[in-house]
Amino acid sequence: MNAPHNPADHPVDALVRDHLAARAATVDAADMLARVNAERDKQRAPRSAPRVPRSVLRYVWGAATAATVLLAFAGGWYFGEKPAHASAETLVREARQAHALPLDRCYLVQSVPEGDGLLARYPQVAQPRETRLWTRGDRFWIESTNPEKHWAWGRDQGRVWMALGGAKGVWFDRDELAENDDLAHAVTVACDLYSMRVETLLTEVLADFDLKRENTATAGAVTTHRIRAALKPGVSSPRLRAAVLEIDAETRVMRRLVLHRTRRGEPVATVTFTLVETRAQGDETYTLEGHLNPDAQVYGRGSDWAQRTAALRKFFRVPAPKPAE
Amino acid sequence: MLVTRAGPLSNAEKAAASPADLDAWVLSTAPDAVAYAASLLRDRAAAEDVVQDCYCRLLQKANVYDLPRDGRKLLFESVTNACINRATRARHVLSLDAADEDDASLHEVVADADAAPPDRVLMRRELEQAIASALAKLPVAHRAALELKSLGHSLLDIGEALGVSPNYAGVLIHRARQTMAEHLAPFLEERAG
Repeated sequence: MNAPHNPADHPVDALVRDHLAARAATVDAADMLARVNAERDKQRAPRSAPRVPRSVLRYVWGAATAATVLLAFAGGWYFGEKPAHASAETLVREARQAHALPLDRCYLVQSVPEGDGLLARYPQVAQPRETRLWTRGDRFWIESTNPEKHWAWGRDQGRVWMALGGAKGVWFDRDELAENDDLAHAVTVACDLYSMRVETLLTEVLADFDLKRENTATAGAVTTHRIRAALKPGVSSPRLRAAVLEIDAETRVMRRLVLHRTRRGEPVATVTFTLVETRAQGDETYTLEGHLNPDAQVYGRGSDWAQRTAALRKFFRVPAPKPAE
Repeated sequence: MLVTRAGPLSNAEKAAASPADLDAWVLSTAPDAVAYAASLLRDRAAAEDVVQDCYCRLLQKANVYDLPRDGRKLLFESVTNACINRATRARHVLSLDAADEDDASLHEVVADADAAPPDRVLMRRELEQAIASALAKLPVAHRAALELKSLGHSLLDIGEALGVSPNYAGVLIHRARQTMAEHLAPFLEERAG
């Protein structure tokens, strides 16, 4: 069974095989290897001082841990020495510090729409979807999880950009979008839902939410503290109703977040962010140019407006306005 | 002495099972193993934990088994047992976060809905959901048998993984296929047509 036999082509088997293959494609094997090696290192040296296993360093997840710990030392603090039973507020503050480090983190983003009437009002979010979000502080960009199709989009210094397959890029300045309510609205909704501006989010959570520390869970080599955030009585938040944060006990990095997003007070979607990778990326990845081939066509300010807006409408699923009668 | 089904290993073969080979073995088998475990448990996080534990247990015996050669079979046996044990003894606990934590349902979503024409996306999503739904209706042993078969494992290996005879493993697969075929009839007809 080391090299599986060719499955007989029973039609049900073929469907199941395709189904499993699609799911297998979402598995980060390097992450599993890092977890296994970290757990085995822990088992081999359970009483040794905290250290970064050599084997882990070879892989992205391990590199993330190592970089975070090293940078934390360089920055003058090390969360591993903090009290084991820190309050929820302390944990969130420390998470905000951890995410202020100049590291790029990638989260798998899974969104499930909520609320009636969503299809009509927010067609761009009406379907469950899965993307990958790269974030550094308050900067972000988003990419497809579909290996058959490469696209990325992001917002950088007010400019919204979309890279379509490396061959075509479209960007809009903030003031251009501001003149078009429906497009600006679509981009704002998409940014609210699928991006995570960590520092802003955690600042908002600390200010406007009651925080309750729940269980501490260990999965393999990783221990996380779970914190539930609920809006304080009498406080309203335009974009967030509640959240669940799972913070790494050692590095204080957020490993998983569940955000119950709202729009004008109504539930819009539940968005789950799962940390899948941490590594340093070039600044250019947060810009359109970082995602395009050298000979790519770029449509920016001054290019054909109808062409650009059509691309943006298609990308964010914004219906075209009805022609004036 | 290293023991495998094929007999003791030669020195050359022992040397082949280096840490790099073991890492490569994990990397090559992890996606299928996690996907399989997630389907059995219907919980991606739990599946990852189970698979990690299985890897750790097997790697502890890397001096006994030839994992690069026989490890896939051993891994799937181990994962099958762990998942069935877990699924059998798991109690259904209602949680306010149930919807958020049901990673299986989250993973049913089709990645990147924008990537293909809408009709194709819709059909793919419908098919994915139908398969997941039909698999979820199967008893866990039937599901395991069918999925192992679809992944190319022999009746002998499936029987060993499930603790049944090869013939009975065939029966489980047959029943699972029948149930799946009933639920997936429209899609199967379309494929056949």
